[in-house]
Amino acid sequence: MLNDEIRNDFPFFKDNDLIYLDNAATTQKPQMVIDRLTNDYVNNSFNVHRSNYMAAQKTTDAYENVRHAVAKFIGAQNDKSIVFTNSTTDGINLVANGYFINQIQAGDEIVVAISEHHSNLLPWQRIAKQKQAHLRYIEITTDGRLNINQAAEVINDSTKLVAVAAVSNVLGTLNPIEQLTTLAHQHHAQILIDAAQWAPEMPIDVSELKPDWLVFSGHKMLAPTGVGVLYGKPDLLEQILPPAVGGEMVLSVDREHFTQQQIPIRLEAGTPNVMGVLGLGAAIEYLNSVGMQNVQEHCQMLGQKIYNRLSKLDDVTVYGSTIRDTGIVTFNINGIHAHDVASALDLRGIAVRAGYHCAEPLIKALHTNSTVRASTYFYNTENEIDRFIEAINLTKEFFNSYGH
Amino acid sequence: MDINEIYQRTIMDYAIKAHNNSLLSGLNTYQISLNNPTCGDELTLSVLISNDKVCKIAYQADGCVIFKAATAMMDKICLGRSISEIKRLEYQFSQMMMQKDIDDIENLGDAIALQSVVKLPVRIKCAMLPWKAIYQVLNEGENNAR
Repeated sequence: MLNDEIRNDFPFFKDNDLIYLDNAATTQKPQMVIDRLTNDYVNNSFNVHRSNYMAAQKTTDAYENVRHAVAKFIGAQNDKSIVFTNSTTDGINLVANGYFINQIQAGDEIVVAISEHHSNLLPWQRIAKQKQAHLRYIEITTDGRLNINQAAEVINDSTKLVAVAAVSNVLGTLNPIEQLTTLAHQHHAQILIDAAQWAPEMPIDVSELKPDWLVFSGHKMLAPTGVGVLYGKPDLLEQILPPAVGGEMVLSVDREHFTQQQIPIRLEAGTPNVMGVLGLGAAIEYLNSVGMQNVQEHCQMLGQKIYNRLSKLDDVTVYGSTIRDTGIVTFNINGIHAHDVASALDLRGIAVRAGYHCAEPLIKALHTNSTVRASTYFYNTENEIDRFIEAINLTKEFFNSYGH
Repeated sequence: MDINEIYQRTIMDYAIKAHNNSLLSGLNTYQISLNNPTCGDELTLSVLISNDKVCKIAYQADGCVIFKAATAMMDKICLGRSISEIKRLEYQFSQMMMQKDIDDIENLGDAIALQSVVKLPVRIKCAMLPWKAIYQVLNEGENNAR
């Protein structure tokens, strides 16, 4: 288990008292990543894949080394499977608009979970409408887990794609993605895994899981904003129509034609987010030094602690399973609106998120309009959880004293 | 900042007072539905306008304390007033929430307590929602009267 000293790696905690429990939204940055980026901005500000001088080659090599590091981080055998994007949302839209738009026919089915983040729902909603295909949902059980029996009925021979999050950003549950991958492939459908809340928290091995597509974001795992990863089987990436054409992704251009680069470069038009990618590389190095197994255990422990403590309180509803898989816990204090709870915690120096967390169909399926979400990362401590629970109690007392 | 600085007694009391009633229907009644998509405040507001005055207000308000308090306060201040008076009140309220100086601030009555919300900018739109709603619904009333 990780100890509290790991916080010393994060300069934010030196000067700030904020109890930061919104890590599912974004994460703080370790000094090591900041220092690496500072050095890169000072010494490595060169464009990649273009210039011929040694300095630029160094930056290009560093950039491509990150591609290799990402591949290793997720267990991919081939660096060509790794495309740098702007974010998870960007990656999913790339797959939807560059590939599935040309694959889905009228009458085809796309299966998503009711708990999907809007980024892994709206692109498929739109394609289903555009192509007269059907969008079908895997529902959740009362335990907040995906109903795998119902999934087995919903996924059929008309299914072309199953798009599902590995970890729900609201319920914090690790979904049965191995079974869903098997089900999808049995029916010759592809599976896209939204790993936005999975890659930061647990070891991943795509060579074992064998998804067709997998997406995640850098900023949720200690890296800068504006960088994400799309993993795709190389033969599938080959078939994506590049959404952006221009510099960087071409081999040759004349007045009427151009020939494209190989994958994955041809899906990275223009000057890429070089610093974002280098920052992602530094973040992965740091996470490897911490150990993803340790990250998983620590977050699970904190999530379970939050769940256990909240469940003991009267008038608190906690959503999802009694056994927690991650550090994400969503709840409501009965009779007090989630935004009032969030503001009350904010005024006590605790940052949580309130609302529907970009998962409106799920929140409605949970029969509520708004919820509060606390999400830990490996730098949160048990003491912070104790103070969080204390603040919840004080909030309840405050609102109850006014008759709310 | 202490929670009491924002969630003052006046605001808490008004939030409890906010009552959902059956919406008005019939001649000279106008209705609008607005919400704050990021936070889940939902308001359906109906008014009955007679002789250029808002003589009845009925609403369905679901959401946070700030929003419900603001709705109940707006109801109390606006009931019985003329359209032009209410528009002036709405203007004064917005100015107050933007921390501008305004004349005759006492016209806003207990809604002055909502000034504390400017210290928590993310919640300003919760306080503004009922005022936005009455402004828009009165515009509809005016347009139909022409």
